[in-house]
Amino acid sequence: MAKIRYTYNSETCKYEPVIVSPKAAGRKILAFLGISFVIGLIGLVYFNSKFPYLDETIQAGENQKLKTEWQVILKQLDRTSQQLSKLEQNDDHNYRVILDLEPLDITQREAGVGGRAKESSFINNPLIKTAYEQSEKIKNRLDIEAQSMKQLKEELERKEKMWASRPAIQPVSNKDLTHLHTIFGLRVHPLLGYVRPHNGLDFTAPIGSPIYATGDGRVMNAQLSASYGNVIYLDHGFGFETRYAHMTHYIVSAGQSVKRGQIIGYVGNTGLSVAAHLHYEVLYKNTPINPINFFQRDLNNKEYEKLIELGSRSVSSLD
Amino acid sequence: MKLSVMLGTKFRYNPENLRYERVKISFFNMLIAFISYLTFGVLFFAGLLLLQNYIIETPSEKQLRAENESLRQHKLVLAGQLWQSNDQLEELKKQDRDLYEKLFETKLPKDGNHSAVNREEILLASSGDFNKTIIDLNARYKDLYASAQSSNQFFHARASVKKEDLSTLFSIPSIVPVESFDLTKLVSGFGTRINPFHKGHYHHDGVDIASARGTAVLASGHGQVIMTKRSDLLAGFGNYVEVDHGNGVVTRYSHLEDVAVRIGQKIKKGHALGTVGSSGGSIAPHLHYEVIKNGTNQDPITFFAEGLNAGQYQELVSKSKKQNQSLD
Repeated sequence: MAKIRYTYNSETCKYEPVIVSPKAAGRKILAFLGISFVIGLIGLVYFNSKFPYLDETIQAGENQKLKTEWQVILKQLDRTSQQLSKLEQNDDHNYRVILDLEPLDITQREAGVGGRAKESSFINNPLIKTAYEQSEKIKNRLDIEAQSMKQLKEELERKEKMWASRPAIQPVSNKDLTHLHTIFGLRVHPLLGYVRPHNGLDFTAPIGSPIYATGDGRVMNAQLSASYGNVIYLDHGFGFETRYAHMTHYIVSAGQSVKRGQIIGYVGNTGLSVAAHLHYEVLYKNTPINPINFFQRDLNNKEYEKLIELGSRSVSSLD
Repeated sequence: MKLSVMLGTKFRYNPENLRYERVKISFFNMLIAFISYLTFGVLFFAGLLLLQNYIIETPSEKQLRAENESLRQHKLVLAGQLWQSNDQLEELKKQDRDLYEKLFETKLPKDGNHSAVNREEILLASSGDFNKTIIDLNARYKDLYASAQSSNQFFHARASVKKEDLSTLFSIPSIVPVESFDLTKLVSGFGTRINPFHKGHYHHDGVDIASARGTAVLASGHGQVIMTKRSDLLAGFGNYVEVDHGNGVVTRYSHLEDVAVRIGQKIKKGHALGTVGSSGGSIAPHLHYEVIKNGTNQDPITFFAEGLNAGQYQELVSKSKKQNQSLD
């Protein structure tokens, strides 16, 4: 049973049932909603006065997170730059000093190779701009450093070749050597009987003892000469030349490339010679120099044999 | 009654006592009304807030949104660049290593590759802890350094030297004999080394200090020049100087580019004897430095006493012990 409400009608002095018309009900609901709306509105005004806009808060939070991530990027850029600096310093202060090359300066390094579009110039945000600028600098420096490394590698390869071709070992092993005559310069020739410069050193050793090339090079000439007997002329490049005289026979021919430690012939007594020995000459820019400077006498047999073996292998390249 | 009519007072018919009774507004009813107003109020508030959010865009919001967008986009680009750079850097590090090993005929110890870029790190973005560790470590290091310094001063203040001993002290070849020396410049020590020309092992009688051509070579102690020699020969010591420091100690400075002293000249510690070069049997500009006591070559490292702290000295010693390739 619906609850019927009554009102007291003072004119008729009767209780009359209240009839709620749909219109009245609608008004009531509207009023309710209106008041609620006003409450909501007041709430909103209050909220706006106290807090920033919702979207703003969300965006600010996002911003915070992104900026933290950017800090990490900046830090990593920094670390990359630092590690790169270490390489550059190593390059400038170690390799370039040792390889006798001029160091590169920082402006040269940061300038880069050119032709790259600069992304940083279109950006206003300082954080992004800084990061791009740093990244660009690093990229330039990396390119320069890569080029520099390439140059160093090439230079080292060139120098390795130079070092390998420098006469640096004894042409006869200590195992076979019975005597080393260290006379260099003017002396009375034992056969000719008059003073004649002796432009090399004599290694006395039994006939047939192997003779080793003392540095990498090319056989310029291998021939039988009246005074030198069977003789080999090696061109080592970079101004150096060596001669090996009085061999019983040689086993290389003109134009052939030889490695240090390679057997080129055998000790003999050919030409103007009184006993089995190797006459060894070193020339720099066509001037004979004392070969004693171009080998190590304290090198023991085992070391020497290792060198001989080393020479018979091909030179490893840098890549 | 009039008042109740005016207020629209409601009545209810009670069938039990057959009377109209006034309807009372209870506390419960009021609460219900309040809650419903509040609920709808909150609903309106939420709706209005969202509507406002949707319609109105504040300048700062707009700016933040744009910034976030570009931060997000450029982050990807930069991360890409960074990874690419890092790959290149790692490649260069490898080349650097190869070059070093080739140049000095020695293996570098594997030092746990520390890549500059950690790909996960960007995603994690929690760098605070790491920073704190670094700061702590730094602080600890500073403390240690300070205490080491003060103990140095302590001993310095107490070690006493008689006046007549001074000349002996000054004549001990105790400084590193090149200008602006740093640890990286010592490249080969005393003992068995690899000869750069024939690659065989031999006894290296001194230390090699790599320096740029033209760097000043300094007398390591007071003394007298007893030998200067110039030689164009691409073997041996090249241009060199020998200094007698008394008490049977002689130092030799080889492979010089220029010699700036003459025989018999009395010199003080630190006097420029000439400049670094690559004369003689040398593969690179460097100073080959020997200390000879009573005719026997000594390890020059053991004489280096000035201008280096304990840590640096230790590093120098360990560097000089490496059996690498020498420069002469």
